[in-house]
Amino acid sequence: MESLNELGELSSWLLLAAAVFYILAIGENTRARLYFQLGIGVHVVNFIKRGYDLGWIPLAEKHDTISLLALSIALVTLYLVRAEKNDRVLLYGAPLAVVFVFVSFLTNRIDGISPFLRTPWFFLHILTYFLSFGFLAAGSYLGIMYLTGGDEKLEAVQYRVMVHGWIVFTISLVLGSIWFFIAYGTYWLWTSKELWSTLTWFYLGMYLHARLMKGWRGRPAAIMGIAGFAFAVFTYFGVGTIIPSPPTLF
Amino acid sequence: MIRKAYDILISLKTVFWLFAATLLFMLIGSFALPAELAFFSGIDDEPLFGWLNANANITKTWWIWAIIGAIALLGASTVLCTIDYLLNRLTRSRLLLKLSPQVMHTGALFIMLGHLLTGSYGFKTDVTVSEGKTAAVGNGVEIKLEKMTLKLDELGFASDWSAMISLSGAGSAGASKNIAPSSPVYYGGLGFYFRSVDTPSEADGAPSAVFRVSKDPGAAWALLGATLLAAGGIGFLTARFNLSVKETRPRADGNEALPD
Repeated sequence: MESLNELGELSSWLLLAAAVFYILAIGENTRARLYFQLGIGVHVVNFIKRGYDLGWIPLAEKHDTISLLALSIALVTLYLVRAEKNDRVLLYGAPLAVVFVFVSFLTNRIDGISPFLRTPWFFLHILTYFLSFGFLAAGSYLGIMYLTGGDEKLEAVQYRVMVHGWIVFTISLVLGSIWFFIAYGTYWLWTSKELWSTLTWFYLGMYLHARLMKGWRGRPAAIMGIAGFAFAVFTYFGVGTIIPSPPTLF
Repeated sequence: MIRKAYDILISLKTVFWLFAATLLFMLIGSFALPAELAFFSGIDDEPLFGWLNANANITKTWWIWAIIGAIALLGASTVLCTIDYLLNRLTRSRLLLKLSPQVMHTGALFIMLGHLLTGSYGFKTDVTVSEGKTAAVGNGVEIKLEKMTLKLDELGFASDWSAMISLSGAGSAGASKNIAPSSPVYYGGLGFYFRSVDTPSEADGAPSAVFRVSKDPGAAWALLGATLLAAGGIGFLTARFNLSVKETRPRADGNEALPD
């Protein structure tokens, strides 16, 4: 709860303000959309301010990465509002962004960085990793919208969003492998974390192939898509806590 | 018989179940690793197949062999599907959209090849060297730690470090290079990675450094594969970004094809 004790800092107030705007955006009208855009704007300013305070891109620890996850969900949701002309996604995307903003406040904030992380490859890896989470989260709530009475188009949009998520996730794993090779001389480790990241990638690959199969479009694909985000979230939050992932190299 | 095996390997259903099997074995592995940490503690310190040979306990390592087997079958299926698509189903319209998944498939195959070469022919060792001292690292190469620069935090722990090293041997001209975390040095076919430092106590004086030294014949293949995988993905998104999914039409076998 360290972050809650530091609410006096401007960046924390900005993050809280972003959460308030996201809460106000839970609706289906023009005003909701305006609040949502304001929330994203304030969240981006928070990100810049935090980076300015730290002196590096603020992606080296959980508080900031979970905040980025919330921002990614918000950005993909805004993309869907505009591209699909569907304000209903705000009813799902805005609360989800709020949840992750508050989760970020519950983590200990560490204002330091390991020398192994000071390379653009690491920051690009983290940036794309959490951007992919934004797509997977959107794919997940689109699947829920479809299963709770949405039309067929929603499931098709879910698929398209999941394809984006999988490809961005793939790019993030590639960047992560390059960073790890430069830092430690290997691009693979036998740890539970590594296995679950790969497992998530394989699961998403399985979903994308399954949807091309006869009889898998619609309900089965929607459920598989929802689980895709669950895999990603479990890899980040569950592995290391629920499943121990002690490093074998260090 | 061969025709039947071919049909099975290029079927989407087979791909689906191979994905599912790989997932299952990885899931089992994610629990087995922490449960047997003492047994698996050296797995990342040497090439995989060397470690598997030295630790031939099939009751503990079966899931690794199962992952390798499932991925090998996926690789075979990927080769055949890609060849089948390029020879029999590729048409000229929307070429980028149709070729991008095949580029991704090829990338995945190169990554598999990279892992195979790394696991079979790689070389890894850790070398501890004190400031001013020389150590042999293998392949006839020697490393001398000339000077180390340490930055300590307010608690006295090392927060950043770098070193000047001299490398010689392996038929190459000697070289002096600066090395730091995430800033490796390559010499004589070997990679040098700064793993950690041992700050000096008042008694023993000189600081020492631990370097990971490795030779990774699969890394270049894996990088090529990763580049193709990423490029194919970007190509697919570029081609498909504005396309409605409803434009797809079913193939004769009922499975969905990419849009023509």
